[in-house]
Amino acid sequence: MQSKLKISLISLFIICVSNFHAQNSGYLGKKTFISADTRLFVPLLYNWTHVDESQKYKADGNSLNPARNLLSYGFNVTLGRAVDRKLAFLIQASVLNFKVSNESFYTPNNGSVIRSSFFHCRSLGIMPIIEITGTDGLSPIGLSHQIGLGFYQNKMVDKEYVVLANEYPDVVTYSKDNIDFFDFNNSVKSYSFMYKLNLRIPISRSLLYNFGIRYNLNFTALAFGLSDDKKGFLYSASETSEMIRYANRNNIISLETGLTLTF
Amino acid sequence: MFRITFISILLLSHIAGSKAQQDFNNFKPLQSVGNIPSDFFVRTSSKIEEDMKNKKENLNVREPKIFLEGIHYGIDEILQSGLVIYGDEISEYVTKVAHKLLEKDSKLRKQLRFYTIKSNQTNAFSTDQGIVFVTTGLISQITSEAQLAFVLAHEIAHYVEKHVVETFEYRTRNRGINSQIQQLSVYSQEKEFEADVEGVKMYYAAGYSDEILTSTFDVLMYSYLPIDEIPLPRDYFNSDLSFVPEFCFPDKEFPIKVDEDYDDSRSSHPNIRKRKLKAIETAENYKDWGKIKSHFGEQTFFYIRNLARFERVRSDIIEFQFADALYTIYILEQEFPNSLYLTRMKAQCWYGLSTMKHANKINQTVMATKDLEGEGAVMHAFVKNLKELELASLATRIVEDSRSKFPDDLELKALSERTNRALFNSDRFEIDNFYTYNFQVGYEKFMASDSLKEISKSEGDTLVEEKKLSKYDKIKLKKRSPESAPSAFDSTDYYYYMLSDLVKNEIFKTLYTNFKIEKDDEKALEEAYNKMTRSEKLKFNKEKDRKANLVDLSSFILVDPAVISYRKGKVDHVESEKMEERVVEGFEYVSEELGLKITTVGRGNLEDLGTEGFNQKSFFTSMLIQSSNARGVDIFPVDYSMINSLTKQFGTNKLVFSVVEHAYRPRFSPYALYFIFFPPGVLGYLPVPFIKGNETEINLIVLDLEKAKVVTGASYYINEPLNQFTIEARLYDIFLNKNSAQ
Repeated sequence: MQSKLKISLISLFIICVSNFHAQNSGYLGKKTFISADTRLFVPLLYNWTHVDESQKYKADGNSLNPARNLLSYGFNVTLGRAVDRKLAFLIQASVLNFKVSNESFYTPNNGSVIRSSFFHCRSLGIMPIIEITGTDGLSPIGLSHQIGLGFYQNKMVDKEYVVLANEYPDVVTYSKDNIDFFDFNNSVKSYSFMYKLNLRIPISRSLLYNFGIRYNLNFTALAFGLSDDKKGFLYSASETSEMIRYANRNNIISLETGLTLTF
Repeated sequence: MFRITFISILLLSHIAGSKAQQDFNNFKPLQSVGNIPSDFFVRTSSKIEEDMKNKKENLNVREPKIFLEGIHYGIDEILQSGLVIYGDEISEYVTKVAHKLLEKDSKLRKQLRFYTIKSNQTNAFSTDQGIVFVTTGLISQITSEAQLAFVLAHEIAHYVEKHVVETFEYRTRNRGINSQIQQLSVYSQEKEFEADVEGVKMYYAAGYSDEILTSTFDVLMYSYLPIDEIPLPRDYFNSDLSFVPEFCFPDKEFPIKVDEDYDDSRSSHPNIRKRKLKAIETAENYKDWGKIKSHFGEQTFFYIRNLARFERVRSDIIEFQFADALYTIYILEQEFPNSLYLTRMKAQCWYGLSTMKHANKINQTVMATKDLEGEGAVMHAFVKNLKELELASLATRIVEDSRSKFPDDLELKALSERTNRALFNSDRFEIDNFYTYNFQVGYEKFMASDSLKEISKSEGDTLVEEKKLSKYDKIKLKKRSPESAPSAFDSTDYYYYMLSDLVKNEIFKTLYTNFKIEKDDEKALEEAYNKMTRSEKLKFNKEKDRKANLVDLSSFILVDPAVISYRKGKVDHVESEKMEERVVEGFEYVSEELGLKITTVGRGNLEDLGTEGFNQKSFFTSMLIQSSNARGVDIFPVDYSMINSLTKQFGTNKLVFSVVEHAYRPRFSPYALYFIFFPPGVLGYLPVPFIKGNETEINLIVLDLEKAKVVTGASYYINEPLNQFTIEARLYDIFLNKNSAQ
């Protein structure tokens, strides 16, 4: 029956029937799920607020070319369990790769460093998440709201970097060959509070496609110490944590997409 | 010897013929007969594709695809509405008459298919695909085969001339089948004249009489009135046990207002007068007119018309037009006083009126005072003026009389139980207020009472003179002496005398006692509920809802779901049709997963199910339409007996029906304008409307066919895209939670 009379019919009937106060059936009976997501950051503020005065650079051999950090990325693996029609608990492990720069120390006339390439930082983190679905939710599928509070460890990545420093009367080029930039074993702790609007669309009887936008508030613990307490590294621990904090603070918005397996 | 054989053959053929004919005393609603035509099961998208290949160039329209989509989806909606029948006696008769018109055109005879729509609209229309629909409303109103022939000739002319309907855009929401019919039969005035001219030509060639030609337009003009104009006697409801005073009837007549020369400047159809004149003018061009009123016999015509008239009653009941149905029944009763079918339908009408009155929805079943016209209006006005208890008492009386007339009929028995319950439910119903004797006895008793003698004496009358007074004189007498009113005979309470047999009947009394116990229990429960704390109330309601929604769904019948998918604000017909199939597959998958038995009676398997399946689907659909028209009021299924036999056949009384709608409409909040103060924030907000842009609505109801009630259902409004798996997930959830057998 194709008749659209049915539309009025159902709208009349539906007032007679109440909705669920019932057990969660999950997705076709499956309530546990594991997701793998890619996370793409849009360092909005970072780019917006530093358009002209602080061009960023990337290393090209021993020289620096102007560049922008338009995208950082990461991966999440999440294990979840729907405990109710509208509620699920998740635990998420993440690895994030993002770029930091030394712009916070850049002072054209007095500072020693003139320019540097982007430095790479890697975060490893874990985050418990509460997921709440909408009125007619059926966790784990559909549109949901996630709230999480996580702990991250950030480490600088040992790669090729280039820094141009002002060593009067010369400008010296530092690279991995002639200096240790950071203490790569040192980790900087950070905490992240996030809200995510997530959509899981079933694409098979056990697989879901995820898509969402995530808003992060990151708080990075600063290492205290004198800026010249460098212990042989170009950047001290406190300078490193300052750089990471600056980058983290700007990584507010990320888009996530991936797949979820339900079982 | 030859003579005897010939007579025997004649007799046998007569017997065989009469076996095929309906016995109006035991009338059964018309059903489709024979092989199912492909029009009913081929996918609409396939039909459009086929037409795009073959007809595109011949179509005199700007956008052939849009036209074909509009037409095909519109027609298929009618074909699948449960109201269309094929191969039945009316359709066959219409085909015969049409073939008479097309005697010399075998090609056209093969092309055209004739189907009947069970609708009380007086209409017929042809489609671009070669289907000619005729409504039972039209057949029930015409007075001769020749009138039908002219209507058919007119419609065939539209088809032959390739006239394109003016309004083919297929609209989808909240439209009844009647407006769909209306829409598909709207041509320009010019084309209507052209079809009339061509129609007259065909009509003339078939040898029909010119005298009947113009009377066809009278049928169209007065089609909004009932099938006849017979005054309703004021003693129609009176019997040994029942008396309805004359003051209950309207004291005025309802003149017929329509004028054939109405203003048609804004109408697609020319007015009746213009069409009549044009037809007369055209007819004058032909000489030697035939004199035939009927090629197939008057009796056959009247038989066919009666079929349509019996169907008319059923259609009125489905549409909750009880007063119209009752007037038609009254007319048909003149010819068929012992029809079980009419008796059942009458009982259904009175039960329906009683429940509608109780629900304060009586105005939905009777016409507004300003629209009352003709003799049929008396029934409307009468019903409208009755108070709830009056109506419930009269309904109980009539249903009880019907049951007494056919004591073995299960349908009337079920109706009697329900009408009794509706009476108990009426405001101010107290069994003790009803008299154990009828109105006549009551009056006689009153006459013999001392109080009356006193009043009479005070008026200076003798007892003998007093006995001569009519009941109305008694009322006047009562009014003249208000101080003695309590002891005066009061005919306004006439309905308290109507159930004199029932109030003495033990079964009736037990029913009432049980009803009272039930009500007392409800009251006690309500009092207990009122004493509960807030949290207890919440818990109680939750549990109550849960229990109320649990039904045995281990076996159910599935009818076609309705799926509407929108794209760019318009219905994506092709996607909708595909998704409809996927929804059915979803039901089948979930049933298999949860071990449920599903019987699908839908368009998708009509080719396999054949006409039997199509008829079953039509009955279920009619019941759904009737339920929809009830607007929350309890109904009695119009096809009760048929539905009961189908319930037994399928081994379940659960009918599942669903509606799914999907649109992708990202909505931007007006607050987003504040990002003007912080432009980068736009990027953070921008994905949100797109993520939330899917709007999917999934509704499902389970109808108990025996109780004719929605027993459970579910409704989801979700921001998810629509695909087969989304549907399956929701269906799984519904069946897991609502099935008491799980």
